[in-house]
Amino acid sequence: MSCEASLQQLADLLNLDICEDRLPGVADNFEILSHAAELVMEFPIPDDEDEAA
Amino acid sequence: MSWNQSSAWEIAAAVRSGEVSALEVVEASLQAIRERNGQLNCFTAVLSDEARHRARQCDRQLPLAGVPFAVKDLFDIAGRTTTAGSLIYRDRPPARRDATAVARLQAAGAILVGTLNMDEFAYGFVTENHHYGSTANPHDPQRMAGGSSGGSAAAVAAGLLPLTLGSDTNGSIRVPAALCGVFGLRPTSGRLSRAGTVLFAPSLDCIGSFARSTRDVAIAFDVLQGADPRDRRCSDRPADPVTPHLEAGIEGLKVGVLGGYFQENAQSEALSVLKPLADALNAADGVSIPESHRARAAAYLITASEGAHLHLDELRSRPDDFDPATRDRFLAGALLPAQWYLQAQRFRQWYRQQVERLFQDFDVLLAPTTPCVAPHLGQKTMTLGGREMPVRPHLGLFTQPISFVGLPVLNVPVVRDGLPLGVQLIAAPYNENSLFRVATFLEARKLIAGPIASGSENASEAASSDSKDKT
Repeated sequence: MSCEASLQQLADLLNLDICEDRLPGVADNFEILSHAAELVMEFPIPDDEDEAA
Repeated sequence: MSWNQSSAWEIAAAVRSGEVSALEVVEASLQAIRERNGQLNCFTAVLSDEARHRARQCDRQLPLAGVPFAVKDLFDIAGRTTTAGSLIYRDRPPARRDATAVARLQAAGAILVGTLNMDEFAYGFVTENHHYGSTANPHDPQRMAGGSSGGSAAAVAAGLLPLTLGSDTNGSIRVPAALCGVFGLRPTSGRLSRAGTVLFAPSLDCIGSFARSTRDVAIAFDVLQGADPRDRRCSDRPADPVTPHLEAGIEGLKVGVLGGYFQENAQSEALSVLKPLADALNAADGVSIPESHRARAAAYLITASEGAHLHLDELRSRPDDFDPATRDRFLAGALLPAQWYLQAQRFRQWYRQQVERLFQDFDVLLAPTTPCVAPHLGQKTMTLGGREMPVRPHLGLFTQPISFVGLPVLNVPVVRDGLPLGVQLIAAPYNENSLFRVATFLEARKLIAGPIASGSENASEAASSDSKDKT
């Protein structure tokens, strides 16, 4: 399944209307968020500091 | 000089002594708005009759007696609808009471004269509003004021009035303050009440003020301080006025300049303004906050997720009434996996610990506020570090990692030839006092200042300085 199709399916679940016109803009923004998420998810938070959180 | 161009404390002193009436000051401000707002588009509403009425009743002994002020259009004003820069909220019922910040300024004698333009729902750094138009930079009206509190910064820079309020989630006070050449304070998160304001990303949002001098920002900060039962996120610690300590000097304060991330991807002139300040403060070089690029990324995720959550109903029911650019960002945020948001919050705790360790060695840190001077209105990309980058998100490159952990920050406008640039003075939570002491010291040495912009002084110089930017 393509990224856009996945986003469309997720939007349907949330009752959000991502019509064809909106899909490219949403996909572009989601891609930016994905890059940000990569940076955050790959970072190993040390256990003791994680506990403090 | 007209009274609207005076500082807030000068106006209050003159009203107190009877040299001028509050009504005369308000009339001067309204006249200035009539003359320049058509070009700048700072205001979304001018409350002339209400301002005159309040001015006639003003108690001359109050600390901000007769001082005209205006607020970003996300602060509630009793009897008026708060739009938050949107079409969607224009249909909402009028607010039943003033935002706490508005009420406190008015109780101190300040006179509300209007509401100010912003990015829709505060989502942006440019104040190019799809519904209410763009706010121009008073130093060069071909350029943007920055955002999202662009109207608040531009109105003060243009000398329309001495004091405004705005909000800052990721840099929305500091970025426009820097690009318009005025002082802008983002206090410690939770220090000032947000009651009666439209939130954007609740775990990051903060309110603060704009003015043309350190003293004016300090006076406003003192008036706005204090616990508020209307805002459960507002600290219950008692007000701790900073104004009595402005002249305390900088003896004993340790100052450092942030290096690494905060010196990368900036145009050279944005970095050059740090040196005279650092020299005057005998600041240590190259202080490092680890993983600041990741902090910015995490702030992005949290903002997108929290912002989308607040607007989920309208995204479902009225998607066509959003600015399309804002809507698509919110929609993407609504689809963001919970694991990303949770990890961003966990990282935030780790990063906070790293940052707070720095304040064992330093009282105040310096960093550039923006990576460049104000881009042109409508400009989509700019060149930073040899790479072409989108303007809209990257103006907050250096502000996001700081507000991410709720530190107090004061943007100070640096004295220089050409378009304005600012430096962030950053302190540990609840240490605004040190920021104001440092700013007063620098202001007395004429290294920082917030002059009134005439509107044409930099246009030709600026046109040549970054002509290679893409528009």
